[in-house]
Amino acid sequence: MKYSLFRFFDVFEAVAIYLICFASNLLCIYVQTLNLEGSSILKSFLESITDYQLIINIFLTFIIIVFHYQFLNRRKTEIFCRILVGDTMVNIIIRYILNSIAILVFSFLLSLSLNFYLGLNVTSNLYLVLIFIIYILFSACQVKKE
Amino acid sequence: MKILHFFITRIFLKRWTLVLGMIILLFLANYLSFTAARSIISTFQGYQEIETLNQEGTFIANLDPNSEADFDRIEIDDTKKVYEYLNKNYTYAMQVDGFVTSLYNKYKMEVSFNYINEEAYKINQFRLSQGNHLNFNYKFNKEEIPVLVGAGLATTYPVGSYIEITDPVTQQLVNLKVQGVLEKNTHRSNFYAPNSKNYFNFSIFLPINEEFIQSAGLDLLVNGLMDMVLLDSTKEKATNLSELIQENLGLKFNFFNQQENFNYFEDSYFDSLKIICIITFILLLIIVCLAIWNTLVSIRLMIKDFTINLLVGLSYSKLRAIFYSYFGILFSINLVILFVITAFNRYGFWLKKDSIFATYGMFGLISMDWIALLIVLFIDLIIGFTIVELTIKKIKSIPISVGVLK
Repeated sequence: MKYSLFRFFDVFEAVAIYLICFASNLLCIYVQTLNLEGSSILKSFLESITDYQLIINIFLTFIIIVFHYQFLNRRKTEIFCRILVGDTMVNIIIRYILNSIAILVFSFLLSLSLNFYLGLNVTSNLYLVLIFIIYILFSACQVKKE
Repeated sequence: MKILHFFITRIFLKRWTLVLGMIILLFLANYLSFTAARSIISTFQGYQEIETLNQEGTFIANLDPNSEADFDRIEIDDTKKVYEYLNKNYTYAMQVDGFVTSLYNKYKMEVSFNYINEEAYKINQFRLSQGNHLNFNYKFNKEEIPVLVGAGLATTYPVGSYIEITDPVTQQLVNLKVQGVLEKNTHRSNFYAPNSKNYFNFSIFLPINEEFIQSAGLDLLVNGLMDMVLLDSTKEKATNLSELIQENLGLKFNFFNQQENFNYFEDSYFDSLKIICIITFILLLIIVCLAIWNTLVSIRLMIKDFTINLLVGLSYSKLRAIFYSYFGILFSINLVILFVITAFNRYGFWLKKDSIFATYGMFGLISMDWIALLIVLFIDLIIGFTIVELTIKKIKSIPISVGVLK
């Protein structure tokens, strides 16, 4: 993470949001595997959430867009200063993409522990990873100086 | 109003990603609390209905879930023997719903025939919007059978009209006379799943008496035993009946008394409701934390705009009012979306011709939806208050000079 735009707190924020999204997806899958025949009330309540699992999870992923948006807005001055001292926009963008993907992969690996704990397939969160990579690539277009 | 318009268009919507993020988070919070509230209301409504049944001296039949039931070997003569014994020695309430038949009606819905005996009818105390209550002293096959129809059938079959149809239970051509119309959304909760309800807007209630039971088919008689309620009985009498049913039909029934049912509800439903409340609370807390994070992020990006306005004379109390109005608008948008989704879901049952769940209501929503929306509104007020006060506190903590310099 040399020359990275990310500070420790930014990494922490991003990891926390990624983990919330991954955990939400895994828990939705997990409750569907539970045998709740004995409790119709709980079953119908959980079904009313898991029926819309995909929409809920995609809605939650929007928070990561908010994260990238505010992050890049706050770093505009820093990007300007870096370019002033000899850095290039292309390098900054490449570093931003690589750092963002590194944080995403770290969060994904961390979420795998929950996968193993709940006994779920490790590929359960892969579609979210794909969505997040798309977000990162789109947000890379927003890397701008002041 | 002018300043609110200025703040929304020039400050908040300038960073629409943050506004959209906030709307999504608040919507998730609203949907979650709405679902939880509706589940709890529906369960309590069902529980109240069951409480009228669950009195001292009543024993409610329940097919033993651990026993193996072989319905193929049940003979109609054996079943009739059980009913003869029941009629001689017990007072019982019997209601069997859901014998679906095709009967022309304005909405082209399937119509379900529900069979009810006098005791069950007395307990249920159905309210009528037109006509008179059922009488059970008719002569089967000799005179017309008085029936009640659901509100959805009232226009096609008004009070006093006749319906000639093959009865799905006796397979005989019967002449039904509409005696009364049930109130809109008359329903019955499932005894062992009080949160699920069957609505009787497209149902026909047929009164059953001993004579009718003698002519009835196996389906009605066996189904009648499933939710049968023995009234003014004793544990010993209930055990005798259970043994007789097992001897004749090979089905093991448990008859639970008031205390046993109460313990069952206590163990099963209240625990489920507690779990629902805990899950909702935890998820709401996470969503509200995300919403607060979203707000703090917004302040970081918008602080320059806020402080410039504060510098030129905007007071903190006015800023607070702007924030309350802004969140009021966001919550209103979410409540409207929630309302539309719920109304569309309710309307979906009409489109799918699902007569058991088709309901009438103000703008398509039934009473429990409105109560749940009110609860959501109350939760929104708490969330809104928390977020706005935290926002103002945060803005106040940033000196105006620092804000302007940003």
